Amino acid sequence: MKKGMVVTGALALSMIGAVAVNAQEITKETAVKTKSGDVITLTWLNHYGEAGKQAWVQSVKEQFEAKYDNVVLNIETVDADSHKTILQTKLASDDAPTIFDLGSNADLVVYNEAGYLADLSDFECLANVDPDLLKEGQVDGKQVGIPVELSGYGVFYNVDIFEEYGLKEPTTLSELKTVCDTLVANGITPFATPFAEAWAFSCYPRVLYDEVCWHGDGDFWAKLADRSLKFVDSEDFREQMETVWAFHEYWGDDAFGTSWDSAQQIMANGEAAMLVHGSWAVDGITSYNPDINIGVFPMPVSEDPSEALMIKEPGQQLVLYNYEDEEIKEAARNLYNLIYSEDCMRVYAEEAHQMPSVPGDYEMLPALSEIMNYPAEQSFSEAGLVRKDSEHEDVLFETMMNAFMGSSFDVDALLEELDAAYDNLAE
Amino acid sequence: MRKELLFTDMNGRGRREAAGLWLCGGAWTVTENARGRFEMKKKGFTKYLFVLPGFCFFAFAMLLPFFMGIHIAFTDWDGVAPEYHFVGLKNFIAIFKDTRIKAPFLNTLEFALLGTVIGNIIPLSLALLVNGKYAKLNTIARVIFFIPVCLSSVLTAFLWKFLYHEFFPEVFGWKNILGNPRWVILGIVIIGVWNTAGTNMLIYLSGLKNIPLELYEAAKMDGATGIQRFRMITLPLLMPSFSVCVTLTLTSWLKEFATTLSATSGGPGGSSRTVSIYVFDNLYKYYKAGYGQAISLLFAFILIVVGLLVSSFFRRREVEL
Amino acid sequence: MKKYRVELRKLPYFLLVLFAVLVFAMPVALAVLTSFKSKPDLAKSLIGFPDQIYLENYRGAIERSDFFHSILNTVMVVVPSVTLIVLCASMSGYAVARYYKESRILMLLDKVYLASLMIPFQILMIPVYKIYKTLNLLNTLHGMVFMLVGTSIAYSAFLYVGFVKSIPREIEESAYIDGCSEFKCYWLITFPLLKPISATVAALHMIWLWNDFNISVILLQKEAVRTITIKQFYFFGQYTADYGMAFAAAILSMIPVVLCFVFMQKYIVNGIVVGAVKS
Repeated sequence: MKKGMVVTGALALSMIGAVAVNAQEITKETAVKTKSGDVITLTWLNHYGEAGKQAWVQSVKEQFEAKYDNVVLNIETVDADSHKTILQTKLASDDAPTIFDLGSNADLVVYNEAGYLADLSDFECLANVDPDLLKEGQVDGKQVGIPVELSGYGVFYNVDIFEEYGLKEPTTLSELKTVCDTLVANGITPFATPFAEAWAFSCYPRVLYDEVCWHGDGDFWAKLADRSLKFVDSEDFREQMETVWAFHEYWGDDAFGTSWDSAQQIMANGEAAMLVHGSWAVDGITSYNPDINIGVFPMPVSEDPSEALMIKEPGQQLVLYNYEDEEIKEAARNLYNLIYSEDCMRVYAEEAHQMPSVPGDYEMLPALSEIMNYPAEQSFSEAGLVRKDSEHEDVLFETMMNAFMGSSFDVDALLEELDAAYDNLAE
Repeated sequence: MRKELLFTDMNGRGRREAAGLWLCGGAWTVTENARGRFEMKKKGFTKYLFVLPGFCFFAFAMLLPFFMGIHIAFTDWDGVAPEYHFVGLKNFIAIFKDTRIKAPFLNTLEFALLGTVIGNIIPLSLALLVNGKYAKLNTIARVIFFIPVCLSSVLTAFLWKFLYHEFFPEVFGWKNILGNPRWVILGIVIIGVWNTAGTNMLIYLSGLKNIPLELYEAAKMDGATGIQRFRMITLPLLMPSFSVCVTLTLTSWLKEFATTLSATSGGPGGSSRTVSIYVFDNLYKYYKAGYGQAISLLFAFILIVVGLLVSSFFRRREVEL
Repeated sequence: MKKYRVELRKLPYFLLVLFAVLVFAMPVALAVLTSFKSKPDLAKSLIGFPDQIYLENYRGAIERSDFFHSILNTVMVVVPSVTLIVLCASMSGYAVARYYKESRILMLLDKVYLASLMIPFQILMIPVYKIYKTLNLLNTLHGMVFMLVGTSIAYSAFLYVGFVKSIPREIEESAYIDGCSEFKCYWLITFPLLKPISATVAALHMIWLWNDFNISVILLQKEAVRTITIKQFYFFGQYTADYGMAFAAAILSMIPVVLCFVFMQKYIVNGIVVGAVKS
């Protein structure tokens, strides 16, 4: 019986403890939870786990609360993998955050149709944002999202290694091949290939087919999805797939066993010289080796230098939940104007090492400012174009991955398999 | 003699009593059995009091949400919109037409098979290994085998990714097993077994500790060899541990999600995608919540059947002392 | 002389234990090593020792995860949960194991518990969130306790059932004859006999709940109530993972659980000697 008493006692005590802590939390919360009196609480649900981005979010909060004394900005940070789940759970339970991130235009369409997104068309901050990127945030003529950042896709390379062997940025496929051969001759792996992860693998073929197929026809993915175009009928796509394979001997000895982290490390320590990837690679590699000198050039796709294009893609967008309440909308407008100001974006550019959607005079990593200022005629901006949805994307990446993983490559088989898979999705 | 009577009596009464409890909250039992002994009546009711607190928590956390969510499987909900429409059995019919589901289904079976076999043989061996008479050595070994359990599955996956991607290639020159479509599932099973072996070891160990020592002594005196003792005493008396470990390992591998998602995200090329990951993708990525719910419902049904079969297989072999 | 021979025969046994220990300990050792390296050190060499022990990871981990506050939250959630689980599940397991033959309800309950283990948590998430929002239990630690207990009962009751069966009925029955009430009898006789499995259940749940991510990530969204496990995920960004810091945080949060296990395992292992009680 004694034991029972002890256990029950421990239980009672710990329960009381838990409730007491909670009671404290609750009282703290009621002060800010609802619109009590003049205090308006905005909630910003985000997935910025990186230290630099968190610093940016914190600086937004501090500036916002200092500037307006009747508002509280509540920051809810979740990890990137759970972000979508939590967002959907909250929306389904009528507990929407005021401001949250969405990815591409396709996501905006879904959320807009559900009636969750406010129209931001008359927000003053739109004037600050790169007008080209804004297209990505438009649905049915309304501006429902505003991109925070820009991502670039191309070839990131180790400038010092290139200089050491007298290499120049290649502009055609044959020049790229020469570069690769020189590197191999000197014992350096030409490409770091983080192909163990599907998303990281996809960056490699994507630069090729986006520069050619999607740039050539903005409705390329839409047509493939509604099956008015077949993979087997696209000469361009076939050609690009063959180009991908043509360089496979330069991928290092275990391309599909290399993770994104290892790829950054072998770039950082000079084992590999080039990485076909997105612009976040610059920050990633630099964090492993602060002294490294990273440059960038667009991936060559043919023997014509003018066809090599720097891909620019709008990144995360901030959307506003569609509140009836004018006061909340007004507070949110102030917040947007603050976030999309050059001052605020400076933190994003300089501490989080990203390319902000608001052009300005920032001190950025050289490769990033190069992408941001890349001449328009040598760039392909994907803003506002119809993308693949996640399922079509997954199927495409997976099928490609399986095709490139073996020791031989059959382009016809790949195209047929892709068509079969897309046919199945269309049903 | 007295004991036997007691049990027959209780067996005969079970069904009526159960019905009575449902109808009148137990009060009926007392009148119905007034001719029985007083002790027994009390006993009949108390056994439900024993399960009540646990059941309340369970009903609140599992049953209620489960039944609240079930109808989604019969709708076209995209997971986002506030409205949805009932579409009858359309989602369930679609499962059988979906060519993408075959691979995750087969992968899941492979996971379950490998995971259950490896995930029980190793822990049982570890338990036998540390059940010896070398107190100090055994304590240290036990703690070390158990430490991996203290890491969450996501962190474990990160740690092993690190091993597979960087450590093994650099130190042993092994290629990354997670990048090989044929071996990736084995690679993940190794991660999972490393992570959870301590759990099963513990269950086997407390099973071993529960075996009366004099049984061994008696067998020894009768001249039984070590292997005979293991087969005739340890194995049958370890059945409760087997029914727990095998059933739970099997079902947890059939539900495999977190380790795989963090280790490979279902790759390379979908060769380690499990049914749970596919469900998750449909629920939160493809905007097909209704369809995702339908798959998970159907799959849960299959799991329940398998789980019940397996557990009753072992439960029937349990020896009551 | 004789003793020496016995020990030598046991040599393969010792080697086997040593090998197993090495296999199990190596990844953890690597994590510890990594946690003392800076990112550039890590890029240079994986297994080499760092030129200088880099404590910045630990400082960063403590600071960025608000370590002591998060640990306190975790303790506040885990301790009551585990206590409740052991109490409720042992009683359930006891009743099911002893009476399932004569009560259809208990037999059904046994099956329902088992079946519930097959339900993937993802499909419960939205309903759970709705219930919690309606009852105002979101972002509360006691709400978290209810959920953790509710989702653990089935598993632990399942564990208890098998082990109750291995305890001879005669012990309780002699107590009934002595006029002991049901609960008293359970507390005085059966529960102490369940000590090894109770310690197992407690140790396992201590660790699982400590590491719970699925439930806490949706129920605890305010910084003030977040547990250590969620905070750990801050070290994994969308495109970057800070291995050193993530492992440092993991090791820090692991220490209390490991200590707890070291303490608990005494009970698991010393166990009961059923035979002694019987005779």
